Amino acid sequence: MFVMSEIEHTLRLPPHLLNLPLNVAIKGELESLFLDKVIDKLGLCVSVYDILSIDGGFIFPGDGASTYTARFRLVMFRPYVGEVISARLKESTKNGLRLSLGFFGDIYVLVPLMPNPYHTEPDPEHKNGIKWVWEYMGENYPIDWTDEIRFRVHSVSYPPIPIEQGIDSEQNDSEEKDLRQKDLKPFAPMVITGSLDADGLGPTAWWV
Amino acid sequence: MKILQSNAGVLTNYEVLALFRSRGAGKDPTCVIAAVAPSEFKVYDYLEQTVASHQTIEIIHKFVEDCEKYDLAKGVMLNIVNIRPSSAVEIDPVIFVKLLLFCCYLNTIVDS
Repeated sequence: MFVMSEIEHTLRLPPHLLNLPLNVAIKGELESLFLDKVIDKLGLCVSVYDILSIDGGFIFPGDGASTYTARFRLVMFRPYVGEVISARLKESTKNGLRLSLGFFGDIYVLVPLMPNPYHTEPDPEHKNGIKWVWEYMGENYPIDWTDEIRFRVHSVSYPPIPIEQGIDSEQNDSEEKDLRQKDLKPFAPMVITGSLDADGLGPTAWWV
Repeated sequence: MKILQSNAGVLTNYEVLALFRSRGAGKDPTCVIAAVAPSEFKVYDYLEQTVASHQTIEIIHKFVEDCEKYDLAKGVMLNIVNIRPSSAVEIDPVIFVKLLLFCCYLNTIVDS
């Protein structure tokens, strides 16, 4: 689930940090740049593990700050395909489930990857919610909100950043445009697709 | 930004939790004083609820030594350490190999 990645980056150290020890100031700047950000093909940056080297310290003409080149390692959240992870239910709709780890919430289990055979029931406790129920040997096994759910990583994707979200130049009716913008989900730079369709996956309460 | 090595090492959940604990995450209930960022606290809170909070480095080393005879892939061993399956059905999605011969080892791995 967690991998270390080695990065080299040139950064500008603002003058107000000159009173701090150099490695503390550089680490602070790296944390503000990388922490909780998704790097394409590397994953979600969780923490700065350590700083391997700091070079430079040059002050360019017209600039009051010094520029350093730092080599460091980041702890990245990047699960591999086939990894089994525990998560909690965040949303349950007709399109499938949305799971969350707390620090990462863009995990989707789509309908073809749900445990088979299944049926759905309306969920009275959640507006527009659906309760998914697995049918096995004549028994019904629902997926409840309190369960810890184990899923297997089916794929990890990094969608490209949209140029403009929700705006269609051919759309003239402003009311329809507003409705479409409300339905759109916010952009997710990293999306994990999970599968529950195997023995041992799904709520842990099913297999105790 | 230049990526020198995209995979410079794999960390178990326990190692990431130990990293945050070494920075004082577990000792600060206010989540303000410790040198741990709010986003790092979210990861810490998740890992505290997993089996990693009950593991030690000795347990993990012993498990890796005991599993050498099964010739498991590193990723599979890492996954088993992270989720700690307590029955054969829980280990089944982790280990894809369905060879009849290998099924005999499932129970012994769980017992380890």
